[in-house]
Amino acid sequence: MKNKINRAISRRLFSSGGVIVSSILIISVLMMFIITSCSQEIAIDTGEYTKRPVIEGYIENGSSPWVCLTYNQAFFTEINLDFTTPEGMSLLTELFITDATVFVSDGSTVDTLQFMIDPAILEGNYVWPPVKYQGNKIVGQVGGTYNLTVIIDDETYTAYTTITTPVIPDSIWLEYDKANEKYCWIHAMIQDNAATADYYNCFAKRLGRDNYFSECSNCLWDDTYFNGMAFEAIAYRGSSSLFSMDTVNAADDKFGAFTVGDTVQLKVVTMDEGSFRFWQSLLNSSVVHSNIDGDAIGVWCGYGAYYTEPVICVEKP
Amino acid sequence: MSKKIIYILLLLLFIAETVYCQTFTVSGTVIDGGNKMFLTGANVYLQENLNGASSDVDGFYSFKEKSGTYTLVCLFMGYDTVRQKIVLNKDLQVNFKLKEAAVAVEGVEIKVQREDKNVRSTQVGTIELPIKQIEKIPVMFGEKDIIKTIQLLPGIQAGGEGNNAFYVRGGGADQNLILIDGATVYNPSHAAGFFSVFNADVINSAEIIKGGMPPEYGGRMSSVLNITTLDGDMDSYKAKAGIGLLSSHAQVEGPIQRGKSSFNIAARRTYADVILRPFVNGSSMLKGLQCYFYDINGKLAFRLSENDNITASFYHGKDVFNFNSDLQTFSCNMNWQNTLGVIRWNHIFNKRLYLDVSANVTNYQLNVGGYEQAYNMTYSSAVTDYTGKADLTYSPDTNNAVKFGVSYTHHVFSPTALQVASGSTQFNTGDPQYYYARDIIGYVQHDLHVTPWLEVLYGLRYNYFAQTGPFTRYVIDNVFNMENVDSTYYKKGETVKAYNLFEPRINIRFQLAADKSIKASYTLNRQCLNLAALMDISLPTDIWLPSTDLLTPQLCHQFSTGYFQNFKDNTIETSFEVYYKKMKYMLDVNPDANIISIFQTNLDYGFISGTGQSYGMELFVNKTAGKFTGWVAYTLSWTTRNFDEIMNGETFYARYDRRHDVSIMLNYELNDKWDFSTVWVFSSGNAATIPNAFYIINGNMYIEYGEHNAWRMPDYHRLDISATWKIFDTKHLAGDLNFSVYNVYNRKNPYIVSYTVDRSSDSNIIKVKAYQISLFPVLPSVSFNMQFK
Repeated sequence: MKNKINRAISRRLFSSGGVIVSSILIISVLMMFIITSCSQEIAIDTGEYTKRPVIEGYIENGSSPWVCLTYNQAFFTEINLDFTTPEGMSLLTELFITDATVFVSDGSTVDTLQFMIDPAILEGNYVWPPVKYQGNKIVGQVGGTYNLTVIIDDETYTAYTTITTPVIPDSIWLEYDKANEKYCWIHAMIQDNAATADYYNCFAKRLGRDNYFSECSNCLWDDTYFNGMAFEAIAYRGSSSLFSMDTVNAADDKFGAFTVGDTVQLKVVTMDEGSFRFWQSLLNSSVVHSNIDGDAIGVWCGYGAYYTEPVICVEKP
Repeated sequence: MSKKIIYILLLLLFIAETVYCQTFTVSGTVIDGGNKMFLTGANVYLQENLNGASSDVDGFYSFKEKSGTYTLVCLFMGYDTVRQKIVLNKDLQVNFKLKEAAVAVEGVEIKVQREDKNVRSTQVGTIELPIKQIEKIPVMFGEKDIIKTIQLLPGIQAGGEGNNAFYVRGGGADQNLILIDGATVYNPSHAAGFFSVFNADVINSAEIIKGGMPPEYGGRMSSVLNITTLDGDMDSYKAKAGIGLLSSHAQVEGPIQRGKSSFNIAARRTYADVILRPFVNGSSMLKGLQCYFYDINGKLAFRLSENDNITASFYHGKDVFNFNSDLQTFSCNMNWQNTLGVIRWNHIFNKRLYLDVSANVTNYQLNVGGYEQAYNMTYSSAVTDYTGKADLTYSPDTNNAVKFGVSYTHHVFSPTALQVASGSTQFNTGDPQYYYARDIIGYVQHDLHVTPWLEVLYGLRYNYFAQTGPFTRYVIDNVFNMENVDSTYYKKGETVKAYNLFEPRINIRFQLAADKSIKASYTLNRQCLNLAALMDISLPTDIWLPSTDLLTPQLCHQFSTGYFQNFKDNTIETSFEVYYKKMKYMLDVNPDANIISIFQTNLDYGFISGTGQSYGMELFVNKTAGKFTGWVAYTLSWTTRNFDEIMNGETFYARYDRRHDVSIMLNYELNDKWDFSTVWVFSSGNAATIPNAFYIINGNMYIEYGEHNAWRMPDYHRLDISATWKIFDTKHLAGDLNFSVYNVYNRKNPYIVSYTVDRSSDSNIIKVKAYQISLFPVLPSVSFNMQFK
């Protein structure tokens, strides 16, 4: 669980054109490693910060929309994820926004999302987010455009997103770690559409081990550099959510790799430009481009999702 | 009758006055009497009134004086002082052959009249560093480093622990013009900044100009570091060699044709990776690491006649950094190299006219590769200059010295050439981008002695800088999308954008007394080359870009003034200087720019332009002679920036804004066997931008940053000591051992601050922790140096 931020930084650097910066960083870190004498914990006064709502909402084809609302936190805030303790309970009000009004419209139907808490929260075995606003009237359709409205303390935030056409990989295969063939990565060949600007991402779930699809490293792409080409995407296993109370990783799991014996389902998604720009800027830019109107952080993201057949990580023939 | 007598007396008086006022030129060369090499910076002056001049890089000096009888003194540190009676009733040519000073007898200090350039030169903010002084300063791993020495001077700040970038009076690292024998060095660093490219074995002289830059120099806004290399010995063969913990070096010189031509070759190579290899076990992070650099300097010198000299010098240095371990899923390599060559011809037409003509080529190249399984990328960047220049020095009379010159440089920049592949998919990253530029310089400067107490050095520099084709200028929709919506093509040689830049400069010296003066200067500098840094720390991956139609040449007004006084026969130099700089069109990376898509459009869209200002004061006390030498330097300064795109245009501190900077360098020659030196440095912490909040998206933490550069790193301070033991010194062989300790009291100085999220597997509490990373602990080192005479 340590170094989550560092991993997130590494991940962002390895996405798309960030490879240059990532290589520079690796080299710099290695050089520093050679000569580093020590590191010591220090106390830093970070000063004041501006409290703002964080809106994270999704809708994908075949599913109803859901939205998680939180507030940003002072940098050194301690978070207790055990909601059975008083400290954990206080998090519910300090971190999550629980009294907002949230609704989604597809132009004809308005779906008022209901506030709900994952009952697993009391058992300490929940998947992030344990608190969210869930819709049930609208089911996402490919090509549909959906408007989100969130009202928090009389402030209104709006956004729209479109569910783009999902892409189906032409083929999927395994690549084994040369150093240890116990580990592997999943390759997927995707044909990009030359006529459109396309934006991709990929998630993976180890069936029986993971409770959710985690975002694969190095899979957030637009087609700037391969427009109209067959594109070979490589799914590196994403890291577990820092805030999910599940521990499914084994001691000998290798960071970024699947293990022989895993059965993996991929979720390959396409998205519209507004959604992509948010994710891309989150990973690669110091200025985050939210597609939400209003002084909030976050994204209202439509996914055109395709779930692959389970891929069994067999031993290398 | 009486009227006639009066007329005759008046006529005689007039003739006498005319004869008395007639001035003549004293000129000549200063060479090492042993190896016949020209000596740069020797002080030649008249003992009676201290009028004189310093020898230039070709050992040439020239000055004017009224007729009379004088004692001409030639003085140069490390050599016996020569005094010679002259009768000045015609132009005189006096050539000096200096002998190296005999070793001082223990307990006896030889007192000599010291040079007084500190108070006599018109230039503010100029410091010369004799190589003998550089050699005495304690250094890391025994590797002498001129830039580490320069960083100890007032107004000059180090980039950070072990970093060879230097920042002069609030300017950026790219605002320093670094020259070897007149050719530009684009990256002066080895080992990502831990060593400099300057091999102390071949350095003849080093001069840093940080204010009052005369018109002959330009192209950068903050400083000039002018380094000349040694000619080889024209009389006998010599060699030097040194072995250190991490590197070795060797140098050979000698005559090609005795008294007429010489060669000088020096080389260095580090082997840290080889030394470390036995200590790297099978599971170490360092397994698979290869890391070294090497460099080669060479120089040929030909003395064609008394008045003609030709030199040809070259330098090539390369750094290699590879990491390829079977324990890791990624591998990477990076190498960068500087290559330059210079040919110079200087000719003395007569005692009043001196010509210096040169041609040089300089190239800097970077290659980076990164590989993670089937995913890989390679990236390269380069800059090449082809330059021809001519400088003419004309000294018509005692009170005037005029220098003018022209130069032409053809720049070729290849800032980005990127190839990326994901498995079998080769990405279309576009063609490599090239930028071409013409750079024409003309300057004239006039050094005028208005009165004995007033001297003015003024002049004008003109710079025609044009970006030329072939070039495709894209029009993009916005800086975040970076999508090309239109384009204009410029064919080869066609001007894309031209700038006519005029840079007036003036230096004034008021001589209050023989040992004290007040100086003031104003300079306007323009800079047409920009260094785009991808990271906060200075790395070889930083990209050079020219001014374009989007990037206006940077501009800097600098005002500085100072009081200079020498004590004890000029053996103690002191100065107090204040300065103010106003800068425009400074460059920074656009925080809003999409660096992913930028490779498919013009790279200069990724940058923003802003203003800056810097002001401060500098104190310098320098004891230059005796058994005990050294200096104390203190700088108090403020440096700020304004960019519309950062903090909505509000003023913020520059990263290298430092309130206090102190350097103390002391050297003590105990006897002819032992030599001790120590350095203590203190500087206020760098400004840094730190996170002040986080938020959670998709189950991960993301950082929100606070105000730009509003936080301060902890203060930096460090003590280094060194001792040199001259083990033997015979007629043909000398050897010494150098012991040095870096960071004696093991101060954990901050290099960077990193953050980790702490959540142990049995805890439900998540907390971010901040860690200060320190690089070098106490580091003892030893090196052995041998010299074959």
